[in-house]
Amino acid sequence: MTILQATELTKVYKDTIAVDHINLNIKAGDLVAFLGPNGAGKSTTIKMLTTILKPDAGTIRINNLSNPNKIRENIGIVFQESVLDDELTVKENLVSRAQMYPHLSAERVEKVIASVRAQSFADKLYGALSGGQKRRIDIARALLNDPRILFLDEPTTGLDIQTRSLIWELLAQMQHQEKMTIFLTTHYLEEAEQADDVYIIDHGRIVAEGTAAELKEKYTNNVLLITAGDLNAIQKDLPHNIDCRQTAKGLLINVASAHQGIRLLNNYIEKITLFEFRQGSMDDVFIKLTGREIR
Amino acid sequence: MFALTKRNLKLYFRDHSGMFFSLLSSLIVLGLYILFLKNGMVKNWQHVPNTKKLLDPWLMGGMLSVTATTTTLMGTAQLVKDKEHHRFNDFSITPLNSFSIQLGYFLSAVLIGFIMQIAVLIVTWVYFTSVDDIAISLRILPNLFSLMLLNSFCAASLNLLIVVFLKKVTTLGTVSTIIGTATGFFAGVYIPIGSLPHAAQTLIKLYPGAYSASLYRRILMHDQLTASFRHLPSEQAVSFKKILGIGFQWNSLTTSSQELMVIITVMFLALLLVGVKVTKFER
Repeated sequence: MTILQATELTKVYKDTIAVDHINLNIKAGDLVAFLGPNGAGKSTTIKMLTTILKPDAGTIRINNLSNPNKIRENIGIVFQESVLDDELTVKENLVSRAQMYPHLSAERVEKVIASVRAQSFADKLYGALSGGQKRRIDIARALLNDPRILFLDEPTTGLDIQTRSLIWELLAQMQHQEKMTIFLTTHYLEEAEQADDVYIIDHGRIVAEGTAAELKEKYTNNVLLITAGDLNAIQKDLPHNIDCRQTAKGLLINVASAHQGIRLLNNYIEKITLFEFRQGSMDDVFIKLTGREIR
Repeated sequence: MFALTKRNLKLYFRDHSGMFFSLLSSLIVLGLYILFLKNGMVKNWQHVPNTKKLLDPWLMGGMLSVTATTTTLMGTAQLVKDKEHHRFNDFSITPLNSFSIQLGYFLSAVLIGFIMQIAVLIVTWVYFTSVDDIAISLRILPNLFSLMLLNSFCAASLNLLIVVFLKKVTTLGTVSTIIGTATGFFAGVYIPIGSLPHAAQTLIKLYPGAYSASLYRRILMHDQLTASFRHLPSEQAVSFKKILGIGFQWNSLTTSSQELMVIITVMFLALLLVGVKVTKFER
């Protein structure tokens, strides 16, 4: 079942097109990663999907609803920057936000605190928490209205690896136990490997979509690097349809699959002293699609 | 909406330094009066009996007007802080519509202004009673509190009209410094309006806070004015009022109902403009 459908979504700022006719189709219960370099249009897209920005063209349907007020009832957002009050305690923050929703029971606050495992610091001032603790409370805030789909704008940026793992554990738990759909942007490409579906956006356009495995298959090569051995002899002997070249590190051979790599290693077992085999990563996919230029 | 108001009140009253700074203009007014102004003014009016008892409530009136302006500004200022730190986005994704959100900020500013006026009233009342043994009857309290509430509404509307145009906390800081400094002059508290040149007097007459100061003075000074001027010619009473800003010279000296009308009109105008700005230029 589709929970989010965006068609021809477009946003123009003065003279630049921030988001250019993009289409999204997200299945309920999926964890979707939305990747792109700085300024690619990620935040603008997420702002439009969450009704904060009005699109200049295109439509958004979430849970089959298109009225922004109705959409808001179905979504939760973790913003890139903290939006809770430093001077209030965790509980006061959550209670104040909960009261802005009609019909939210008082237990809901306790429940979201428990779901991000924040009971031990629920009475501390939000401003006194560590970055990771704050992030967990931000997520708790987004869960208050029991959303069908949770949006997170770079939820793990600036956090240490332990906290990042914890956040991912929480997200996975919500996805599996509560059947929640999760849509997130991230800078950490290895995180995208855990997603069910990956969208890559650049210059306001979707340049690729698929599972991490599909994208790697389609946009990267497996690389066999012979670092020591009789490199010249191997290069001469290799069939012409195999792409290879000498580099400073050794002889670099692009292979279609791990199996082809093993066969090649077997064929030249006498001539090879040292080698490396590397599978294409999400980093390679990303660089291939968005280029090396820094923005 | 009340959730937002409650949250804003908590933030204001928990930030002690912010609270102090929002009262700073009033405290400066009080300090200047005690240290410098009072002596000179008492000398100027020494032919009027019980001058101190007359002038202390005069100052209290001005202080209340200044307090309402600066504390409601601090109250509405939360809106700018929330916009800059994107908290506003967090509110806009709740079922609250933008009108209720603005109203939430407005109401918290009104309440802050009202509570802080009461605090200033109590402090100055206690102080001047102990120093100069002023006599203010408790009978005036209902009128005084009603005026405080109205004045709070008016000041909060005007300040809301200013802050809806601001996006940055730094700009807000500049604006609040200007307002904090200017309001004491415009309410005719630092220097009585009668001692100012004509152009300055006109400026004061254009400032709504001056009318609320005048109304406060009418209420607070009423009994003492009657007592002090009982045996003096009535022209002296009129000239005293004119010089100290109890009523302002339009065609004739303004009456309290005219002054009330000014405050109420300004309030509605300001709210109307805020409404236009919020609905028309939203997003």
